[in-house]
Amino acid sequence: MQNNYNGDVEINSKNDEANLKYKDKFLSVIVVGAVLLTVIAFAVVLLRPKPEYQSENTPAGIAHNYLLALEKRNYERAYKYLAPSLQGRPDSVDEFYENIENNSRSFRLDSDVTVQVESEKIFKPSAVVIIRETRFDVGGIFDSNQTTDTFRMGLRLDDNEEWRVIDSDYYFASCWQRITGCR
Amino acid sequence: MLTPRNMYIYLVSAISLQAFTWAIISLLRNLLIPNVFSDTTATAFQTAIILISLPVYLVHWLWAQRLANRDIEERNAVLRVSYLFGMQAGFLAPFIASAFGLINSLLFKITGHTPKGCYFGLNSSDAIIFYLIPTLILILMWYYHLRILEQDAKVEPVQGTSSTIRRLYVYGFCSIGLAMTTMAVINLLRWFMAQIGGDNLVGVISSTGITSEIARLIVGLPLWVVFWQWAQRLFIEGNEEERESGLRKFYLYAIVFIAALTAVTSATFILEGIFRRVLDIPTLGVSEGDIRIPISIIFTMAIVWAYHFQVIKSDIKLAGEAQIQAGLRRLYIYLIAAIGLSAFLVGISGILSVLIRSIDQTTFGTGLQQQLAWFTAVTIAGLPVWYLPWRQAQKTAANTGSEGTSESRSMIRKIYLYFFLFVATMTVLSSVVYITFRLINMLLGEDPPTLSDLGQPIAYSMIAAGVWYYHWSVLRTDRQRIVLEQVEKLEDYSIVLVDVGDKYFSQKVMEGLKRENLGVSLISIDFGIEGEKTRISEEQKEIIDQLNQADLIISPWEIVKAGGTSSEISNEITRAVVNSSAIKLLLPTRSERWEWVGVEKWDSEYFVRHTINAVKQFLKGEDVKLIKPLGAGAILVIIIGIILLLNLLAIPATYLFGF
Repeated sequence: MQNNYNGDVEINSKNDEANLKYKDKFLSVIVVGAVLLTVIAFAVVLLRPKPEYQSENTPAGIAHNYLLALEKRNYERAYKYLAPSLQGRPDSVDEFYENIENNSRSFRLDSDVTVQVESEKIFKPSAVVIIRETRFDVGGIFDSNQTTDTFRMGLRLDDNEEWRVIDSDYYFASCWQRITGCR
Repeated sequence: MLTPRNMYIYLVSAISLQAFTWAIISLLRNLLIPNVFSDTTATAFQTAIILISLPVYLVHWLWAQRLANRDIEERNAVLRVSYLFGMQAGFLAPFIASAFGLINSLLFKITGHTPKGCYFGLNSSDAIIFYLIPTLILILMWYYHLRILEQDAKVEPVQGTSSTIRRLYVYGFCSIGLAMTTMAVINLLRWFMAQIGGDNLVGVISSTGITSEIARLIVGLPLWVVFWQWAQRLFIEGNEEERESGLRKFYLYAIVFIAALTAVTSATFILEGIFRRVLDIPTLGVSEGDIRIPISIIFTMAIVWAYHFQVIKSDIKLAGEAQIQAGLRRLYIYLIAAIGLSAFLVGISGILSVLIRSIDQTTFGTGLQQQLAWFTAVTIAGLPVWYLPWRQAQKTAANTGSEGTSESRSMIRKIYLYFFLFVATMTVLSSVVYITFRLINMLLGEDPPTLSDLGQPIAYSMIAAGVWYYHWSVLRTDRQRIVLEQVEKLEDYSIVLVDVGDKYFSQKVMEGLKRENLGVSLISIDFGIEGEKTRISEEQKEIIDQLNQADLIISPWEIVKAGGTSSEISNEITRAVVNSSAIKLLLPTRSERWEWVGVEKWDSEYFVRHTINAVKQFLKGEDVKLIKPLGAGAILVIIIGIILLLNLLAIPATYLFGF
């Protein structure tokens, strides 16, 4: 007994040829797209408006200004936002700067960070501001990693009814809360 | 031979000889450096070890030698060869450390420097004696075992598993020598550059450290040269087994992989430094913006890469068969492309993430600029490393003819494509899970996510979706190309299936081949059915024509046994099969008073499955090979591999999203 079968494979050769040509274009599009994306990213980052100091009426504004002053290395202004009631408050801007240098890890002097004031909770005369911090640690190509954390900054109204920093998980020297200060 | 007796002999020999050697070294140190090592208890203990371990070793080693003299095969036995190479490695590794210490101490003595952190705070003269003793004794011990190995090889050449052990030994020390040489060259280059451009280079080695690097080079370079020449000799002068060695390929491709990855990473650091300056941000990177460190690494690694690439190229030429050559070439191309694409994807995803997060104007700090500098550097370093080999691979795959089909069909290409499909799918999965989690959280009353929160997962999922689509479309095109080529090639192809049994086999194979949609003409002829005999005898001429015109004949082996038990097959049919120019695919079916050697027990289902596989392999132009199901061990290894892979994937996911 004989059984004959002629195979039939569905294929559209015109489509296939078109696809092959398209593939090269696709690859070129990827490369051009990557270049364009890089140029756009550079343009956006470079043309980004410079961060500005905010109104000092709210705890969030003070926290923002304190962090921005530190970022701009305007230590005189940052020093101004430290609560006078802090037991170990540095006596001068120079001492404040020295304390920052000695607490480089807490003040992120050795890394690039992005910060953003997220929210505030006011319990007069105290307030807590939540700050989001994004850090990027460069290792190798495949072991660099970005970490995003939130931390709290405590503020209190001083005698002049102005919000001042009394505590913070970062960007703050814990010795400022001690009677002996950082000496 | 791997018998408990032999294991006992070699194990005792190994332990007693090592104990004896190190006791001798310690005793000589005690005697020759008395002002530092003058402990009587230690001397007594070392003497005791020497007095006891030496006779124990001699008794057992002479016993082993007697066995080797009695039985020639013992000289190439896996256990004996493992012992000899193991002992050589056991003496050579500490010899390298001692030689390094000795040369370092000599250089200290010559330059007049005081060694720091030297063992027991020895001065340079004592340090020379301290390292000289083991250097001399260990090299003697190593040489003794080398001689034994050479004597054994004269009687019974090293082959089979024993040659794998030898390769492990040779390539293992090649790696150590190359690593030492590379490290020394990088540090020396860094030191030279610091001398030229001012020594304010972070992490630059001190003038005392430079002697260590010279010592490392003096030991590492000859070590690498000696073992590499041995490896080359084995490959060029050796037999087919040496040529097809997987270990050599692993060694070469691993070095190329490491060198390429290191060169790309160092290039990234240089570019990052440039972009940091463009973006006006302070330099905090590994090289602190000084390009001399990455340049010394790039220069050295580029030489290592170029040299081993040349070796791979000459290995490919020697590989003989064009198919094997193409496979090796492909392995290199896809390996480099995979490194480049991985870097490119990391970079481009990072840039997109920075772009999305830049839209949020409430953030400040240098973080975004830093990331942009880093990811742009990664993209630029990765793009050419991916684009150039990948474009070459795509061009080859687009070629008409066997070269293109073979590229599209290649296993390495498929692994590459499916690997990136897998990575893309996992990235989309984890990113979308995170975005959904944040949105659900928001619906449940938590703070809404900001662009800073979602920038990275959005960017990663967008890029991963693009990666998935691109690689999927490449796979689809490959498949279309293969099918198109197959249809063209097999248009007039004819397969004749002959069955002499109860028709079960021919029916099942026909069904299976039809399901495979191979695009060939299939003809089935069943000789085993009573009712068909008359018709077959009437149509004999037509059947003979079909057999003559067939390209492939599949049949039980009895078809070529004219006049045998299958008397329904006429001599004419048998002659037609034998004389047909078709390829004959014969089945080792059971027949009375005929047995097969080297063939496992089988049933009809087994034949059907393997026949279909064999036809597919044959139509693809491959050698017909038995496809064995995975064993329990292989399944276990795959499961462990999957668990490890999932764990590896969990690490970036945890870092990425802070789960």
